[in-house]
Amino acid sequence: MASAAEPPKITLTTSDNIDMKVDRDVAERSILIKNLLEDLGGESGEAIPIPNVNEAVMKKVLEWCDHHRKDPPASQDDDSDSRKKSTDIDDWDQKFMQVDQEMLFEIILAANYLDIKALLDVGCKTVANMIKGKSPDEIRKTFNIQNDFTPEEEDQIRRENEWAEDR
Amino acid sequence: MHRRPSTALPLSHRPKTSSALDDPPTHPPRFEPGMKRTASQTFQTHPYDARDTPAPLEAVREAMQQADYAYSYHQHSSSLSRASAAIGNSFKQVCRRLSSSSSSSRRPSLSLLDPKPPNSTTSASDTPHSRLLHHDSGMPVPTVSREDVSNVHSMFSLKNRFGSIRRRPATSGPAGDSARYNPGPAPIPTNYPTLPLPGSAARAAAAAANNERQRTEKMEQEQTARFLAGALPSHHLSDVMKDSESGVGMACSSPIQRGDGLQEKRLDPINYLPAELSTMILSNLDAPSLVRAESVSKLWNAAASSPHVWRNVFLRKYEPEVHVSPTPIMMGGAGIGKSQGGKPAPAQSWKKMYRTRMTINRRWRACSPRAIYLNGHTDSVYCCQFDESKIITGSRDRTIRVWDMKRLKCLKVIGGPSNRPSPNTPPQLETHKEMVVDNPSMNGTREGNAIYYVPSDYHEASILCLQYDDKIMVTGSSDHTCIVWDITGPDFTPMYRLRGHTAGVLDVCLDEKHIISCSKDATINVWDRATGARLRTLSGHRGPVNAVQLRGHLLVSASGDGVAKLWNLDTGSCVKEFPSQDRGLAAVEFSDDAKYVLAGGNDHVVYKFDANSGQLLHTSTRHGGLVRSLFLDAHNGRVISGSYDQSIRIADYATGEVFGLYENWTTSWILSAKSDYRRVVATSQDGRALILDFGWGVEGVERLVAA
Repeated sequence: MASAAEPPKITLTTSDNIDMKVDRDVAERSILIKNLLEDLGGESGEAIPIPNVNEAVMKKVLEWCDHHRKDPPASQDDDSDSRKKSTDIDDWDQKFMQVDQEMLFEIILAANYLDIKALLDVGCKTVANMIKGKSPDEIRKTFNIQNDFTPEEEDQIRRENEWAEDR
Repeated sequence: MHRRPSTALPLSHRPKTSSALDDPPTHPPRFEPGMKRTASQTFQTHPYDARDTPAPLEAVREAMQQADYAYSYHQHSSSLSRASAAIGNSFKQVCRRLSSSSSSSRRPSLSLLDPKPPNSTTSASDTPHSRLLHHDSGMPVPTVSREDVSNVHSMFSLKNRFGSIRRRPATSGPAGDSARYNPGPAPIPTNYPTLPLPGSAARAAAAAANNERQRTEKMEQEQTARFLAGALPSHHLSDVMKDSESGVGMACSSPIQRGDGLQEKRLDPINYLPAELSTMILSNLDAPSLVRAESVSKLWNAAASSPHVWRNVFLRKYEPEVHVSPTPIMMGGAGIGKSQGGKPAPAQSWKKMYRTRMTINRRWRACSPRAIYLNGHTDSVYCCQFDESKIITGSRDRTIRVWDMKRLKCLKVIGGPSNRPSPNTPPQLETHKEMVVDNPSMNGTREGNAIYYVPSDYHEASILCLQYDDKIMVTGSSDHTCIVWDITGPDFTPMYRLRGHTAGVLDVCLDEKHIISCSKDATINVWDRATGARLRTLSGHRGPVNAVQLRGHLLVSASGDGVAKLWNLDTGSCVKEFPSQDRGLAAVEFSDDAKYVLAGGNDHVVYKFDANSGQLLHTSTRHGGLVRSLFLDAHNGRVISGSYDQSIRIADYATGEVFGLYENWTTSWILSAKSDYRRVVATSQDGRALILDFGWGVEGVERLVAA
């Protein structure tokens, strides 16, 4: 057991079999881990296997959790909560999310798996901001997507959606 | 009694206001002739001017982005110099893309922004911009397309208007009558830039370039190459995991900076991530971005047009937010469709509903409502409140009327036995040419007599104010009292009276526990809603208290002494004062989030104050008369003001800019005006209630109704 001065630590084992020691309260930003620890009774020093997240991604996720360790816990009323107006992301998170696309998507997957709502939210907003305000062509460029519509199909979709143009 | 003379009424007719007791709660208006505005409608501000200017800039910015992209692409390529042939190829492509995008920008071209002659037959003349230009010019428009719904001042009858129909292609817009009510955006240049995207040459270049990269990035290259070859089954987490096991090098404990828009790997998130995460991502978009996402690829189309996404996008945009507890009583409907157990019901046509809301909003901006007149009261209508099924009005004729919002007819008249309206009252008044419903008064007819209801208790004087929720209604009268009614049954049953004021009750408001009334006697009374007992009297105003409003435990009041006050309901103390520039205040609004206080009155302007600091944030353009009524619809960003200058103004909540002016739609002063997402309900001294309906005839508007 850790002393009172030092925060209790736990060990996580990533998909690539790396053991990571981490402050318990940081790890508990993940509702999955928090529930697991509660089920285990908190006494066991056993490493918790996280089979869906590798070390690289886990490091990144824990970095986020560490920065946000003092945030108030996420509310459970996710329906209306997730619809909150803004797609604003605070500066630190914005910087944090400046990673390549694969890492970004992996963080989103990990946040979803680990049940870290706020991180999932920031990740999704980051991707949304990469889409927002762009033409279909620019979106394709951004994510290297092949246009599989015929010009006629694309034109029809565009015409059906003309009403939504913000003019 | 104060019946109006039954002669034909000129536009300027105003029934006299007799006894001091019955006076509208503000200073007697003085009408300097110079102050009265002319009937010809002139906008002081031109909302589209301001909005339009960024458009060319926008186009420039976009071009710059394209250039940036080309630049970084070029840099990237040259830094990886050895694949020069392929690079040359890709650069050429970029150049071609650049030139094509400048020629087919999807932004409105400059020509669109030019004031076109009103009879221009180009499609650009159908845009809201040019509509307003017509409008502003004040000139009759010789040929008006059927889409031109905004030209409220056109002197042409509907029939004439239909004589000069010009059709849009059926696919690009609604046809027929509905088109008038369903303005769409202007047609846009046919295509987004559609050059084949980093085609095989570009990708070969990238792949070749990757092969040249440093040893440490080898794994990344492999993955990119495999992705480009279509070999990476990106759905499968396990595969990705294997990759990382094999040592994909990523220094991720600190942020990886992207260099100059250059990214090593571009992956399709919709393909990479499971559907529910795609939904979460796309739910963060606004409608214009979302519809563009729909035409990225077939996969994106399926993901972006999903009802789950549209539900979230619709509700994020239109569902009213609740800021204070208890939730303030909502005026009208929320316009977000059916609800189930207090939450939006599942399986609705979210995308279509979004479209309908957008069409309605365009009509607010284009100033093209239809007018509905409710006839029956025989004197000034002082107050109103409405929901999706009914409107309740209170009048100087000492009756309360309940109107059917759907059938637009009077359902019930509540008053004392001596206040029954006589046959052939009121006289038929002039209506605005945008009138679509003007059902005649039923006073004195068999049907009219059948709906007259004499309750066990009633006001024997003017009904000056009222407010109701789903259980009770409180009416305030110049008889110095309020009556609290049980409105849960078919009849409205008086429960008790609130006695204590020594002059007319000018305004009331209520929440789950309290009833607040304010009076000409300069006091505010706080009553226990359950028992009717007086809990507290707030004094401090030095003139009649004309209006009160409640947000949580904060109460705001406006007085003829020229001061609006903020009170703590729990302690009864005044916590802030907001002085007018000059004279008395008649109306006050407190934003839902309790952050701002709006007040208006004899200064003819609307003030916006910061509720915390007390600072005056801005002052609206001047009405031509006393601002008698204010209503804030914070969620839809609109402030409705009604004035003794016979006008209703619609202003932008954020900026204060007036973007709608409805003058002389009634024949006398506006005494109250309230709104929801699709309409304004206003009451006038001419004895009528007027509905400005921006949802009239709009396709799918019935989907927005909750019940």
